Amino acid sequence: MPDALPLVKGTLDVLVLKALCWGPMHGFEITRWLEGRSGGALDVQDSALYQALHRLEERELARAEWGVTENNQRARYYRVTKQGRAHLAASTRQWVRYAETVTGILTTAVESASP
Amino acid sequence: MTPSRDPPSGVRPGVARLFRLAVRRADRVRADIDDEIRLHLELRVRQLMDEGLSLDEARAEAERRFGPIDQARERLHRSASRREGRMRMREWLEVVLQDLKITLRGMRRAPGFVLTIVVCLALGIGANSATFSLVDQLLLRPLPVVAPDRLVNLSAPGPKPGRDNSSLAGPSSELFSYPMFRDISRSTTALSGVAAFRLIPVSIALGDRTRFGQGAIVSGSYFPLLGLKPALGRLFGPQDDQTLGAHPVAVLAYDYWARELGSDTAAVGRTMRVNGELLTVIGVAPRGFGGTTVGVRPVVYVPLSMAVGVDPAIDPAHPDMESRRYYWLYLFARLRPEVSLAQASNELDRVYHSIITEVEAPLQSGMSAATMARFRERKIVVEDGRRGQSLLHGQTRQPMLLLFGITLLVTLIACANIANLLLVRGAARAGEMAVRLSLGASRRRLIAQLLSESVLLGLLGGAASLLVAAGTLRLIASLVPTSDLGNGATLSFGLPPSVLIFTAVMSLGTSLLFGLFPALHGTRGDLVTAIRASGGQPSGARRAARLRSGLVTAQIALSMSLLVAAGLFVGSLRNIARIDLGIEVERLVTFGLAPGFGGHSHEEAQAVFAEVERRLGAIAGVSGVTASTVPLLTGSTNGGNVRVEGFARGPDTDANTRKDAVGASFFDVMRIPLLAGRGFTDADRLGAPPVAVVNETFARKFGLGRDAVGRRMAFGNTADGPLDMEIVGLVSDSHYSGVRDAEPPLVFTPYLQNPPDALIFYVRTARAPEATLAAIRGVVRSIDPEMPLIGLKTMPEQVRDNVYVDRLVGLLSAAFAVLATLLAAVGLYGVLAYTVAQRRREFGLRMALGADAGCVRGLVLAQVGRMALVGGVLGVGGALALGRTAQSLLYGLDGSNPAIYVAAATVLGLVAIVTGWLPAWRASRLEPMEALRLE
Repeated sequence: MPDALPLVKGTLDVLVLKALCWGPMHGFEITRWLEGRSGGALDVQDSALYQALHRLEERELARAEWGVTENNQRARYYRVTKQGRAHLAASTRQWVRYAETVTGILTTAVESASP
Repeated sequence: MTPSRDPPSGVRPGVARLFRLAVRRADRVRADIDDEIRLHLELRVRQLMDEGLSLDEARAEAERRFGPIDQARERLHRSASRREGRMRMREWLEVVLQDLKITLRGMRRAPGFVLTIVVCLALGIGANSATFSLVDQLLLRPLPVVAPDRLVNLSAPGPKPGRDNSSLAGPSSELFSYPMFRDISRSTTALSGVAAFRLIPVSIALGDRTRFGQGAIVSGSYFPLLGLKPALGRLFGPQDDQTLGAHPVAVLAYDYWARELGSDTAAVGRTMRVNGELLTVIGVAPRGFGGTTVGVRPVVYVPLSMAVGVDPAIDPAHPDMESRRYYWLYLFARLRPEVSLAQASNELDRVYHSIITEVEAPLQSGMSAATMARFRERKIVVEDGRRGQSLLHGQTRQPMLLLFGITLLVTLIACANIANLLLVRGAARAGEMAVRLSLGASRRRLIAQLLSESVLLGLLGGAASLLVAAGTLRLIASLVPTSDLGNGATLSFGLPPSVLIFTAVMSLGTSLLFGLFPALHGTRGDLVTAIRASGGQPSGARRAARLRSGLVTAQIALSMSLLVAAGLFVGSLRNIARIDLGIEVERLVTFGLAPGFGGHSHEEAQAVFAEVERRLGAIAGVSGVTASTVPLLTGSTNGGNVRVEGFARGPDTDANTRKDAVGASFFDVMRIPLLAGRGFTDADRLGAPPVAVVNETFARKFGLGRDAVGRRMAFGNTADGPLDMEIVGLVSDSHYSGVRDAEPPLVFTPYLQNPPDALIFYVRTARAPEATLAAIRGVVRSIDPEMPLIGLKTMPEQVRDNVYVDRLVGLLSAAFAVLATLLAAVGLYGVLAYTVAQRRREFGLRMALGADAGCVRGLVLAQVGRMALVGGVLGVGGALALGRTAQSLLYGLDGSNPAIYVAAATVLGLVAIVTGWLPAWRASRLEPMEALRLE
């Protein structure tokens, strides 16, 4: 496994929402999706994901329903709500702006630091 | 992948919540979490095994990635149940809001209905909150001090030979001597401290302003024992109560400091004269603390060590502060932690008994053996002291509880009205409810919705009731005189938090009371079948009809009781107004001056009195001016034992008389008839032979008959001694301290023979006395602009103030009875109007079959008659019980006075007939065919 990146606080919720944009998933599917997308670079325990799901449910950003997997196992499926999509869009915009700003500062700061 | 779902998952969450489908129980929530974790681990193991790990390796790795399994599960359980809790709360709020929205919509459609209910409730609860405010402040509220429940009051009933001086803080049985106070404080171990105090009238001269009010003389232990912190400076401690006369300091009451000094922080260190004594202000008592006696709010506190000089009752020439035979202090104490009231009582009793038998009994002289035995048996009584000490506790207990009870009944009557209205409305909405029930709405849900309507109505009524309460309290305030000269009490007539809480509880309580049955009835199980069976007319309505007339009958019964009670109190008040006072109070104005207590020396005070009398006499329309030292008809009294020529006085003979020192033309101005001898003249002054005038009761009591004039007498506690006064006149009896009290034996002496520091003036006018009030103010101001005028009022006002409790009970009970009767009339009218509307078809049929209008009217009026009769008879029963409890409050009237019962029944009968006439008339005007076609 490559060097694991610690997760910035609050990011996990957004990542889960992103995953759920692809359709309803149960917990393990979300985990797999995240692992696949990050190439395993995110250092997060599986249990933290379920905490994040509880948070999303409470804020009505996601909704849970019981369903059955393709192997006929009972599983709790999560789907993103309308508010969840709006929240994801807003968070994404904010995150991108933040990243651009920080990146901009960091890269120009090195040049101006050496006269 | 498309998950297949359980049935509920297809429902929108809002709807699911509405039907309470989504709420999961706590154990269900935990089981779901466990399932989720199990599935996760299972799938992870399968994935890892697919990647080539063995089963055991895969399991270990899965758990590692998940995190510490037990901890994680616990955390997830917690967060899930937190989420569930919050979601449930939100859901509940949504339901409540929805109910509220429906309710508000319904209310907007029926503004008349809402207004009627809110007004009924506001009147009922408002009257109730107003009387509760008095009950709370007079009988319930503990002192605003640290741990008031650990305070105890001390008293010592039994013979008290010697002198005593009581005040509004309590009867003379609660008084102690100063030496006894010190002995008790020194010898007790069960108490963490004993405090003594006494209330006195004070004249405070600060800067160039003089104010008159009540003050308190307190021991050094007073403030520490109460646990009070000063608002400014410091309060007294034991160090201020060491040596008699050596601590010229004072603590100001917060209100006085704020009002008179504008809360000036430089007040500490200023000097002021209290009753002529120069004192330095050392601090301000905390805000909200108004002494330990309900009804008296001292403006200043003075250390007990300064009593001689400050207390007008102690003669500085012969201070008897150290005397064991002068009873003047009220005592209270604080129990030590872990000590019970009974333990403290036992210990104090031992201490007290040994002081009585070893120290005080040997000091007594001229006591009969029987009295001595009773004296030795005296016990100290220790009682709960959390409310402080006040005569008002006992005096106002019965009248206040009675008024409170009356207002409770008024509220009940209002509730009955509202229940009736809701029942009628329930009948109108029976169709709607039946539809909702048959569509599957749960009964609980409908009841909750109906109750939420009641609660909302209750809260609206409660809010509006505060206006009624404030108004009622203002009315009460105008009836309660402030205690400047003895009559009345200094109370507050606002709406403190306790009253607001009471109002809120009443609003909720009444809304359940009037809302519960209509809600249950309006959603009853057989509603659907009932409606179906009767073709749109719910048949269970008969039960409701019975209940409605039952409620009205109860209202009539309660009104009857209240009308009788009001009749009794008003009758008693009329009797009081008819009392022959023995003095003519019409066109008489009175006020007090106390120049000797501030700003003027004793000699100057005499000059002030003479000048005031002279100038008052010169006011246009004034026909006479006189004065006395005891303010008449204010509850104040002065008295003592006398020796009278020819009257044998043994050790236990009652030789007590009331006394008053009066001006020269007193009997003329007061119009007290002189029966024999002469009144006083200006020649009866210091240096002239001491003279006295006695009244008839005195002459009778001391065996003088008509031959009083010429006999000799003297004041004194001993049976033997010189008789230094000559009786020069005999006058008719007159009332002295109270309007309701019988005329006491009374000795008058000329005040000029014993010049006082304060005097009460009486001015007889030919014009309306009100016009003279301004002229009197001008006269006093022209003599000394800083001299306070105490209690300037007309004598009829003073008489009214003296019986303010009777007036309060009489006027309020009358007002509440009228209110109750009006509410009952509204209830009666409502029920009749509704019945007539319901029975239209029947009436129409009757008329079509030949009944005439009078017959139909008779049917309706018969219903009125039945309810009035049953209600009236029940009401008489209640009234008899009320009359018995109120007997002691009645003056010259029996609680079962038949005339008053007849009057009340007549009033109620008239109200019933007038109320019933309109619906009856309407019923008789029905067009038979139209009525029949209606259904």
